[in-house]
Amino acid sequence: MQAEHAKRSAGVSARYLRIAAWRRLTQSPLSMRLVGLVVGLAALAAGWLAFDALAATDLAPAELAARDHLVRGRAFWINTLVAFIFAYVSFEVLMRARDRRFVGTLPISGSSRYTTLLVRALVRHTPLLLPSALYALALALRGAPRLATYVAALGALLFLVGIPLCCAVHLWAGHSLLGDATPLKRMMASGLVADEAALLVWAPAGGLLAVLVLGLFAEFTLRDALIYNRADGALIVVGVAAVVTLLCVRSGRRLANESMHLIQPRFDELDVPPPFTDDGVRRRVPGEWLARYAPAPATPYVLRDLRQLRRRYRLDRWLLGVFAIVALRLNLAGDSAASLSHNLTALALFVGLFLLSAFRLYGRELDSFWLSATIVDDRRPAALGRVLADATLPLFAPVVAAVAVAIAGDLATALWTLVGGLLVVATMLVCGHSLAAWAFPGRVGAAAIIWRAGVLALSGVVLWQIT
Amino acid sequence: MADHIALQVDNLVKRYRTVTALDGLSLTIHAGELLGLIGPNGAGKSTTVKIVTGQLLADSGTVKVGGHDVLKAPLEARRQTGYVPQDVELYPFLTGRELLDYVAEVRGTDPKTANVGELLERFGLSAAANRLTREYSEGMARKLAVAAALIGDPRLLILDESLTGLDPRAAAEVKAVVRERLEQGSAVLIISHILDVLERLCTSVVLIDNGKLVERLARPEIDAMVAGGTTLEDFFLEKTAP
Repeated sequence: MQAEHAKRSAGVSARYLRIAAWRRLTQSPLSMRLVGLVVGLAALAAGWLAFDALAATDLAPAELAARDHLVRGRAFWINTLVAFIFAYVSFEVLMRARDRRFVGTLPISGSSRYTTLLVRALVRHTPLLLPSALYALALALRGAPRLATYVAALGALLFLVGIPLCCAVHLWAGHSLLGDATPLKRMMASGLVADEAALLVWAPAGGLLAVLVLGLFAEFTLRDALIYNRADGALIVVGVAAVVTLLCVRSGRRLANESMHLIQPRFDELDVPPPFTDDGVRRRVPGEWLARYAPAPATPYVLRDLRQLRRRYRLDRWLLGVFAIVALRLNLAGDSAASLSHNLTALALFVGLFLLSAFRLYGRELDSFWLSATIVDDRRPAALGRVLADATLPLFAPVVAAVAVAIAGDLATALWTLVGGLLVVATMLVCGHSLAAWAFPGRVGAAAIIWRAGVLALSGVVLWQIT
Repeated sequence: MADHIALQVDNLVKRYRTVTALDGLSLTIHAGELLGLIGPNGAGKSTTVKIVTGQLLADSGTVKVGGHDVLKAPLEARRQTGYVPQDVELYPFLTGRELLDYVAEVRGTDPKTANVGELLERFGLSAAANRLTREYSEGMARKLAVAAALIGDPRLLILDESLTGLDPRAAAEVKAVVRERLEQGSAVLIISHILDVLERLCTSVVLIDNGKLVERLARPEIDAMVAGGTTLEDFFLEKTAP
């Protein structure tokens, strides 16, 4: 009876949510759809140019082993970036689904809800298959079919196993909310979140680690199977991947059936940082000093948006640390520091995809539609305030990039990276906020997708030109 | 049937860090009973409803809907509950009719037998039935939410500030629906600040403050109070005076 109901409600949910998703996609204004189409095609073309250029570079050495080494290294970094994205975004899909309050009061079993969210996570991340697919296609067209098969197989395998694996990790971490706050949890929470929610903070990182471990195993076995023609390796990796996926899906569904109705309300309750509930809100947030230098009419808007951003997205500053690792990796990989163009492209890509908050400030998450529509007489100070509040974190990215170049020993390039980086960040802030303001209030989400596709497209073209 | 307990809340305690939202609250609603839950802002009304509907976990205490524990048998408890939240969130890219069909199917009811068309007509939404819910006004969305809550013949109907924002005709319709549900043996829990409506409609009223039950008035007591020239508003103001 229970199983029958779970099966039926999963089917019902999937059918109606598919209708809603399709309408969301197709009922945007025509102008938005055209812009989306053009930018999407441009991103695809630019991605193709970039990956084709990378394939040309990687296949340049005459020695076969050197080629293999370069391609495998490239595939590793592509998949790491992809896994990094889906490890974090799948958490949002699973735990912060927008319809959770509506669905939460209906008689839908935990297992069918979990299945719906898992499918949603897979569908939402489908574009992440593109990098591996484009790189594999470029390799194939340049006469390296074995390497192409290897890249495509590795990308597809990590995607298909990785997302169920990450979702299961998030759910297991969610289940830990039902226990008490232990000293270990307290230490792991570090005051950033409620102690009980400590494992949830680390769940995306845990998911990423699990995918990378699986990735290393898959890399070795697929290399043997597809590059060195040892066919049994392919069977092993496919078998292990199938078992891991099956175990993740089954254990996730079982756990969801037992406790999804407990995990979700507990998460919603604890999804507020302790200072908000314990002893009020901290008076100051990092970056408030900037408001002192803002024009007087813009000051209240800077403070409003800065406080909201830093309180809502508390982990964003850690992304600067991630960027520092990327910048160091880029500049310390070769005999000398990477070129100015490479550094600026990496900076633009990172800021555009991860650090710019324009679409959050104009979106329903942080904006008050009625206040914006009714009390703001002059929109210029409000827009300036938003840009300045958003600038506090991206402004550090050029500094990080410049330090990485300086560590690599090229002080002149470091200086130009700093100057050029500040210009790039300023340009991105203005463009991103203009696009978000244009799409406000109804289609900020669509504009954010267009923005990301545009950033990828431009970065791809620049990478193609400089490689 | 009249003795059947539709909702039983026992000794509910809920703390948000240092704030105690519910401090041992107990409530019982029998079949055929319309209970109005009133109290000042922050008294614990929304916390109670969230716990009853499974959106929040209590620190201790139990909640049973139709004899089913909301934590141990959530599906059975939810099947017996129709809930209209204070902040109505709908799927914006489904039409009104599709949304009701969806709820009907999830509840295991054939949309035809659930009389979706009849519900739409009853709440004046027939003309808008094939429009996306994102185009609905706040009042229309609320009416649709009430219609959704009625699907599946729930034994317990919970209306959280559901009369707010409705036009007089829709409000009258909701009241009529409530009376029908009572006649059919369902129980209704209304949370509202519109005290004169509760004064007329409810079979009993519970006043809570600081997470505790302050007083429960049965219909005869409400009638006697009103006959003596005291309104429910006067009662509220007196009992919750700082």
